[in-house]
Amino acid sequence: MNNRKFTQVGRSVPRVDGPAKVKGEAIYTGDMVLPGMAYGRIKRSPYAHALIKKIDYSKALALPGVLAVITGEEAPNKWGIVPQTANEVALAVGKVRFWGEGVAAVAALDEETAEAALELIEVEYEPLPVLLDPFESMRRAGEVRIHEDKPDNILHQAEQVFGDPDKAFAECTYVLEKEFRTSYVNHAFLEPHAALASYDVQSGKLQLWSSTQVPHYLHRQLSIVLEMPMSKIRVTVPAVGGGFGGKGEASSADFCAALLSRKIGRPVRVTFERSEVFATNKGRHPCYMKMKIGLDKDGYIQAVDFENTLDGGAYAGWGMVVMFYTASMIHLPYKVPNARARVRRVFTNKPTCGAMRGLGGVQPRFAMECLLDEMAEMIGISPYELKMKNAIESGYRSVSNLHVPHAEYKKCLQTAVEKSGYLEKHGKLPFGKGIGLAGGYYISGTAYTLYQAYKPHTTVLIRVDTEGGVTVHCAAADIGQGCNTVMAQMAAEALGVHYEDVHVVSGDTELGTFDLGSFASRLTYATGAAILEAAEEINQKLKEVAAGMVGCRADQLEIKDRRFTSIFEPRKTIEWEKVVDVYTNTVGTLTGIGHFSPPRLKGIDLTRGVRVQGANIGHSPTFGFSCQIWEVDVDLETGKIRAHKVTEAGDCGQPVNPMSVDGQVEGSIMFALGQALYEEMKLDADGRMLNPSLHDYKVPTAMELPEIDTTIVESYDPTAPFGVKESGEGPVQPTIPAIVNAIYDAIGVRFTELPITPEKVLRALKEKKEKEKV
Amino acid sequence: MKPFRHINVPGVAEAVDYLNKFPGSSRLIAGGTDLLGVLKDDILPAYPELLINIKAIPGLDYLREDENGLSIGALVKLAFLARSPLVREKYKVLADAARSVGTPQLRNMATVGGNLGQETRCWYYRYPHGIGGRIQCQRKGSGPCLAVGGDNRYHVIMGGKGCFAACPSDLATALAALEGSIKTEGAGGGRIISIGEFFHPLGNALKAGEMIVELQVPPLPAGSRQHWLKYTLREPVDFAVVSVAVLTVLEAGICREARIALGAVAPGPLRALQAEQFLKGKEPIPEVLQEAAVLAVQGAKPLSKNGYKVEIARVLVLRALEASFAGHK
Ligand SMILES: Cc1cc2nc3c(=O)[nH]c(=O)nc-3n(C[C@H](O)[C@H](O)[C@H](O)COP(=O)(O)OP(=O)(O)OC[C@H]3O[C@@H](n4cnc5c(N)ncnc54)[C@H](O)[C@@H]3O)c2cc1C
Repeated sequence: MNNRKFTQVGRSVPRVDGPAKVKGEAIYTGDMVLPGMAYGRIKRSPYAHALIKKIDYSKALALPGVLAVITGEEAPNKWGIVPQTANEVALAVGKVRFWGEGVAAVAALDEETAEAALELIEVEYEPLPVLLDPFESMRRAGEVRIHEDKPDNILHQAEQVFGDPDKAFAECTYVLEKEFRTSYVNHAFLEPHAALASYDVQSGKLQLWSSTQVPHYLHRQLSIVLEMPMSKIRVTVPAVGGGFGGKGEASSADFCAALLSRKIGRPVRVTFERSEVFATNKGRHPCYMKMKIGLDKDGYIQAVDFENTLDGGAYAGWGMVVMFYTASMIHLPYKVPNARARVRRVFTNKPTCGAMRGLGGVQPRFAMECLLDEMAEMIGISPYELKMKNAIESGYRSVSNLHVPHAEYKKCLQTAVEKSGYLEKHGKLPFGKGIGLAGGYYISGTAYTLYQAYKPHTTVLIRVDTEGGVTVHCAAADIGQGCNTVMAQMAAEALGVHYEDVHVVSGDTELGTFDLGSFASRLTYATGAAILEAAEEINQKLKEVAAGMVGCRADQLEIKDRRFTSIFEPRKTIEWEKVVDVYTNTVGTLTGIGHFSPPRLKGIDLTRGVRVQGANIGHSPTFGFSCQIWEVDVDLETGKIRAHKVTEAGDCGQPVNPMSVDGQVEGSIMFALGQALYEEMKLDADGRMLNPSLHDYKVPTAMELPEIDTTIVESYDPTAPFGVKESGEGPVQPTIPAIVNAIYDAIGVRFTELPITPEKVLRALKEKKEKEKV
Repeated sequence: MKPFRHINVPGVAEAVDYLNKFPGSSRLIAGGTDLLGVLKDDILPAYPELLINIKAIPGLDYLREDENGLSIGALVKLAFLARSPLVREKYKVLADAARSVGTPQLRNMATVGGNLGQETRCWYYRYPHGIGGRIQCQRKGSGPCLAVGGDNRYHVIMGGKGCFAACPSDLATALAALEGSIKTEGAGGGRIISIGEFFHPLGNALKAGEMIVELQVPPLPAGSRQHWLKYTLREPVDFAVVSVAVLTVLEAGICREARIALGAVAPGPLRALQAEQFLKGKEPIPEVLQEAAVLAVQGAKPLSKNGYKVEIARVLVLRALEASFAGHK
């Protein structure tokens, strides 16, 4: 398909879910009330690490209005989004591993009674030493073990070698090695986790409404924890107020609602407080990184060496996947012929880290883009020139066997540089003002099923009839990213009808056909491919009928703008509805089904042809690219940084909905700006979080919003459905390093730890002044 | 949130009456913007049984100016204060301080009385009960101040004793520069408390059963100028890391009077008396102002993590003085 011919793809239609949300009419899980519904609350641990000696809830149970109390012992099966590392439980069993971990849950007639009941639950703890630092955790593993089966307090570690990095470094003209550290940040989505469970005692069926990104994985985990067949469980996703990865696995709200409902035979809803969202986290992994880059005399990258210790917190979560992604992310968007990654993900007694927008990419990107900025200075060329020199192009295959079918990364760099006037400003602005550049990329359309299975990752069923028009069924979850809108656009394009003719039924494991979920920027690509296949089947059947009606051969018909028309004799034309009418009158409702499975490439070191463990994680059918150039002002006396302008250029392939792409890019920019300058969860020495609120956890607001200039660069991936890539996670990648590089340009200080607060700026300026005096 | 009884009172007398009938177990509620957060997070060991709603007391939201100065009824909303042409014109630091609070929605609800009565934002004090239990501390009646040995980056750099939580009220800072005071009513009658006397390291000067009914600002020195600055980590919806309100009088190029009030650096708003004294009788040339700014933070005793606040306070004082003196021209 050629993008110039698109009429529905490429249209900036407003989101289908937009008006209801803007008017406050959208129904979120926490808005739902069912007849007889009870309210669930969770009792949380006052220790970050302790044995549970005894739980006595008899007094709670005796409180009028309390319907049930559960503890971890009642549902001890371990769950985890990555089954090989599943080590979480619905409620703590025998031991708590982070401050605020759930130890019991109550269902009561109202929330107040449930809360009062929590006070009556008596828990006896035996405190254990608390490990909050990953290096301390490894050092003291012999004495303090967080998980019995992990004697080193390490979830997993790996070394990946590609080519001969040591030899390559030895031959390099320029080598730079530095340490970088990222902070402990949370997604801060607006809607806290909520789950409403309704167990029907007669049929033994459970329905769960949940604010989730992954109805399928939640479905699986419920089946494991509740010991019920998946066919007896239905997961439905109402409106979701954002996820950003934080709803990319099950939450204890889901399990507690389900377990309590099954116990009392009435619906139970558990809605988290904001403090509970922070207390259970699953945000970005703080990374302690060491990166070394070697360039030859002409500035071409010869080798990258990357060491990363990920602070994982108490449980496994997405940890192993995130760890391998960080290793993979050094292979793009530059040509790296030799590489080594040594990575490990360590347990600590903190709320667990998990998946967060752009997972695994943001941390190494920070290191790499900042190092290259510094190396350009070493060589005496512009960072732009250095990055252009090394940037990959369409058809590139990395030494780790990562294949990039299509890339407009250079175009992104060029566009942002030209539009921002980077070359005229960089290094030439007055002290206190700076401009910085960084690039980035992200995977698209991928996801290995996290458990052993070869089934397609997405199935789309399209139904066409005279009553409903076109209905697209797929259990994908629209969490605010807009997949219901773009699925409708792509289906309309594929069927030759209008976007307005298409209904989407999604977010329901019973009504929707199989889909893995909303993560890894996979949905537009994956559902696009499945939609094309499903539509093909329908188009074929309708063309056969239409051909008879207009009098030509079926393969001579084209469907566009709700009409079948002969490509040779345009007079021979008929309305789409009439054809559907005839088809359904003679045959009945028309359906088409399509599937998508991403191609499976092996993770190998191409120089030696040997398999490298985990190197396939980070492969993907295609990749999105982008460049951001930030301009900052630094108040030299108070240390305050104002990041006031960003010029962005992105390669998202063919934009299905350009307005949505802009929204994703702008959202990504604000999202990463927070991590760069403002946000950080802080724990005290006991592991208690000091700022579990949106007041003390400083998310930037509209007033911090910079002037944003975005460009969707001309791009079309011929190997992708409709030419699409991603735009939801790639644009978070360059933000942090671009800001950090801009700060360097402004004040001559290279920060390597986030967030860059006024405190740190003042300290750095003082140190710089003292150094200059000497 | 735990249940409580909520009653509307028609007047100050009734409010005071209820406060005295339910000592320790009742709280006044005005806009509720602070109190409801406190109750939701259940941060205090004692939970009120009764909320006495004073919001609807008629006639307590007045703004009056006469020869005695400005009187502000306790129920005046921050949004009103920020918008009032009179306040913006003559009591600029008050209007600017009010405008710097929270968000438009908050300012539409928040009252001036509540702003002075609000609880501190110390994150130990405010730690939510639902996540492993509230934190006991000096301010709550027993236990050590965890900020001293803990993360005290937003705590006081001067004047802490037993408790090192900073005064969160921006109005208090502005009032201090205007030498304002607080009028109260209580069981034994009313009294007037100067703003400098209102805040204590462990709370405020209100006695049990006493409420704020009015803020008072005495007549301004002739020809005075004012300036307000507030330093926050993010622009809106943030409490001050440091705030500064200054008032200056310049005659024939010589500083006749200077008042400098610092906010969020101490348990209450703090006047930089030494710096004020230093400025009097001098020409406000850059060197003088710089010296004054240094004096303003002299004697600061930062805790382990908040030394940067001293530097920010110094710079803010300097900038506020520069702006205020520039206003005389
Ligand atoms: C997100 C957020 C941001 C904020 N930012 C700022 C800021 O930047 N600067 C700032 O100064 N404030 C800030 N505040 C605090 C806000 O200004 C106060 O919450 C508000 O002024 C309180 O007024 P209220 O009428 O809502 O008080 P309420 O919440 O009703 O009461 C607060 C307290 O004062 C007591 N009280 C109320 N009225 C009286 C009275 N007449 N006499 C005696 N006691 C009384 C109550 O019993 C209660 O203890 C912020 C609050 C929030 C929630």
